[in-house]
Amino acid sequence: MSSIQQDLSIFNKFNFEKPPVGVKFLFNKPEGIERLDKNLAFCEMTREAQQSEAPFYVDLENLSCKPSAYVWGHDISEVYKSGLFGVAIKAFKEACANKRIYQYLPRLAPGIVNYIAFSPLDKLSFDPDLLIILTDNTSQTEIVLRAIVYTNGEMWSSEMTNVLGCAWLFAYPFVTGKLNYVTTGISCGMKAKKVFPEGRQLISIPFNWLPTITQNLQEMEWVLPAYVADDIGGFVARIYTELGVSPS
Amino acid sequence: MSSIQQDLSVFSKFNFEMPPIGVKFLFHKPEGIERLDKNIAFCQMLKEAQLRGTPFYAEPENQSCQPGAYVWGSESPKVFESGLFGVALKVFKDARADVKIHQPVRRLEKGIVNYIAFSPLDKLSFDPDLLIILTDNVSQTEIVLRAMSYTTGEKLCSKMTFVMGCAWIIAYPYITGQVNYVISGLGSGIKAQKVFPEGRQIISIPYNWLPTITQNLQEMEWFLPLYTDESKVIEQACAELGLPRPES
Repeated sequence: MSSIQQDLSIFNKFNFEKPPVGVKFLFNKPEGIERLDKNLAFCEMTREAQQSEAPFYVDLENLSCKPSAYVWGHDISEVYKSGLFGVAIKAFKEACANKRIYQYLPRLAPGIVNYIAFSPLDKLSFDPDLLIILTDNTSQTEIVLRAIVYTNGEMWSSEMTNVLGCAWLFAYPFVTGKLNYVTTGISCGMKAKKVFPEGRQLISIPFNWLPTITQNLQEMEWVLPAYVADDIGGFVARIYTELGVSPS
Repeated sequence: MSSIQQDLSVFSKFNFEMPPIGVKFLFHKPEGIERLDKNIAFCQMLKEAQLRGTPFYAEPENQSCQPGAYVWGSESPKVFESGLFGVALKVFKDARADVKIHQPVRRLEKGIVNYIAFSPLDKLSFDPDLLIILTDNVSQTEIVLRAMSYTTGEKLCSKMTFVMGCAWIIAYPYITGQVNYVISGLGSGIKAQKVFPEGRQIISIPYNWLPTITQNLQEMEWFLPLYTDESKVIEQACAELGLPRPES
């Protein structure tokens, strides 16, 4: 596992209540990092890393949530994929609704990820494949998401299912290279396990977006002038005038 | 404009702080509804409908927001589409990012919608093209979105651009038939105008989804047993389906 080459310290400026977590998907067992000494669900591993003093890695035996092994690329009992489990926990009326989710759920390709390393930002010794941020409020979310807009004009898309929410935090951004964000409390598993405070955003930034976002966070204004204008109408009218447009 | 045929009263059970708003796109001027007596932005029209308590209709002249007029199908000065407006607002570093963000934005076709009617749910006299809900908390959001996937397994998607947020609440669900939800405080215009409290979800349900969602809200359990005692529910589900007993 190569050492970290990039400077992600700009994220410290947010003073997040919980530190961002770097995630690395590995074929080989990482050296110099301890194995997690308990079994948890995927989503709980992120919280564990937020609270941890040191990086750790996990293997499949550490995963306590059976359906999420599918997201990791492993086989699971066909009973889960049949949709009957979703009916039994009353998340779905009929098996077909839950079964359909398995037709489009993103997952890691089987056999390519044997270990997953987690580290809080301040202990990060490797270039992360994902940086997962739990924001404290919508203003922080707005700033992070605006950092993909500032130079790239990207639209925002939050993809999620009401079960197996971990697929959209871990597999989807890594597999597609797209930033994803989800609101805590919407997906059943994380809500039931009470992993994160409800109503916050979890932003999962894949490695390919990190250079752009860190650079833009350094350059752009974090609080836009429009947000602090005493008279937003007058503020916009002045810009119209600058651009030679007569206000309607 | 045809009279309302469906029963949407199940939404009253949420006791939303602000009532859901029915929206209808019209070619002809509606009869029996007052014209809005001021000029405001699209997003403010929703708030007006929430606070006013009676239905009203708006026409393009009532639209005070240039980007909102663009979403309604009006031609706007090309300087807006050139990207210079976004740069002047400091939203974008370069005009090209603003130009790009216009590409996915859905807008109503010019000339087909001459009037838009808004009504709070308890005064709704027409079958709405959209039902727009401002939830008070994530638990309410979770229930409404789960009502979409309960019988369908539909993915929960939130589409949004940093500017022209109204396009994703008003035009996108109507044109695509997709349920959309956005987080208040993320779109620049709605945030700058302080239209809604930040961190809430605004859910826009198009007409084609209303029968499914209302039916499911009547049938499904709003608060899943999983949320009260996760381990017991999982254990029972596993026992019922012949799956190995899960780890605690």
